Amino acid sequence: MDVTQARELYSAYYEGTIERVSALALDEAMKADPEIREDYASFAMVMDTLPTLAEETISTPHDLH
Amino acid sequence: MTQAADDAVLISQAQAGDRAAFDVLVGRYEARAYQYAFRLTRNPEIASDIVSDAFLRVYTALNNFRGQSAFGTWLYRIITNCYLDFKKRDKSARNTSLDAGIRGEEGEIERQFEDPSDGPEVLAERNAREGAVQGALAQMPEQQQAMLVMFHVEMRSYEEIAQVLDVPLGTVKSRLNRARLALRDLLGNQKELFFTG
Repeated sequence: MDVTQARELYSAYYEGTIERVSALALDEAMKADPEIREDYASFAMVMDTLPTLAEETISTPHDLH
Repeated sequence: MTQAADDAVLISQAQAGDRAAFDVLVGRYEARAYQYAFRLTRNPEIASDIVSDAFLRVYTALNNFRGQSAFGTWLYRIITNCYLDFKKRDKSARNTSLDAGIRGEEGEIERQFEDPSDGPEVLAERNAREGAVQGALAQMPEQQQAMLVMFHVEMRSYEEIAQVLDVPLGTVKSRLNRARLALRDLLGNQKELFFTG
């Protein structure tokens, strides 16, 4: 598996919805290839940050109409 | 009565010409609509314009709404389209700062995401990281940006996003994956904020 193929699986892997066979294949690819391992790590770091954006409180203007 | 059932009653009344019912419907959804529009545009005036435009479209097209999706989902689609139309009209170059704040009454202010249990260094690092993500989002193609905001910020499901964009579920999943990778690549020049490798 090369990094391009691996990237197709990142979201499902991160969310835990990936099929077992694909998960095992990605696990093996990450063990064997540091580029894929680091590539996924940077993807996961961004995914970890995104939910915090939802914590932002946005006030509706009084004069919205 | 569930909200969906209540919405259906209001929509039916509004479709029959009841303006008060339409106003109640608007009041029920306008905060959420503004929140979504603001998260896309990061500009309160533009967000307000988009919301106004969206509800005008809702009013005009309401008789065509048959309840195949939830009203909120339909509204998200309209707001997204209003936003995409705005981006098409607005071809002027923008200076996008990776420390983009919002324009409030007191000028630019830095967005703060405060958790009282975090120390100042943790807060500063998190604010920097979130500011970088906001700045990167603003640089992305509108469709990708809208999908990321809908999923990660507005907490819409894959299924709802598929309904909003009127594309298959599998397409949403693959496009969101590509959008996340694109966001990651945009943040690549700020490795010190994100990447431990």
